[in-house]
Amino acid sequence: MKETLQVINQMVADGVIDDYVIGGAIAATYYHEPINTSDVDIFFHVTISASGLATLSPLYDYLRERGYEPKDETIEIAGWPVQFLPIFNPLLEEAHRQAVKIAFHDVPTQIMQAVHLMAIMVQTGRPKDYSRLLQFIEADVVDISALELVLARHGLSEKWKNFLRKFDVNIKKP
Amino acid sequence: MTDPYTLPPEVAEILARHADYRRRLARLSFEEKIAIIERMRVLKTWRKQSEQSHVITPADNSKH
Repeated sequence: MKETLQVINQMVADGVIDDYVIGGAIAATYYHEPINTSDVDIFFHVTISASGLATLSPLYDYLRERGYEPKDETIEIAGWPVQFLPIFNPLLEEAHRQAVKIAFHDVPTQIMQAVHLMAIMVQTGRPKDYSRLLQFIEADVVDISALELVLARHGLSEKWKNFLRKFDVNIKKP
Repeated sequence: MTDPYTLPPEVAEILARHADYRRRLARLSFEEKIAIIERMRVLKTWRKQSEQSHVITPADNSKH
């Protein structure tokens, strides 16, 4: 993972991507027990070509030149399949803007805040997102009032209430 | 209304120990947690490969 992050940081230094934030299971693992995941989710701003189309070609070309080959929807970098995902909505923009700066074996990187990870799970709403939401709630690592503000800001309050009802979750508030 | 089901003490103890184990995992450093995930990935790959290479024989069936 250390080398993977070093390569991604070099992509920023070389101007291939402007910046990034780690999301998904790897970021969630920062806050609670490790999750069995197969890839690293990297959120970034996609380059817009002269014709106005969003393109991943510069990113793929850069990595291929350095021997990192695409595999399914990921690119394997130093042993870790990395999925490059575009920042495409206001919630992801906010998650990127308010990312937490950390170090992994002295390599600087940034991950999403727990409230944003949870809000994205509410927004995406797949069974595995609900399962991970329950993990977050059980771990009691998130200020639910802060989460509810994020959810309200992005029009997700109703989906959150439906999730709580569906899974019979009672949130303890101070 | 019926009483809620009460778990047998030995099952309740296993669940409590499991919850404690998960809390301890959550308190590890990020580096330690990623090392655990890396080990999980190795095991997953090994399991997939061994499943593919293993041919079920009558001897396997007789084990059950």
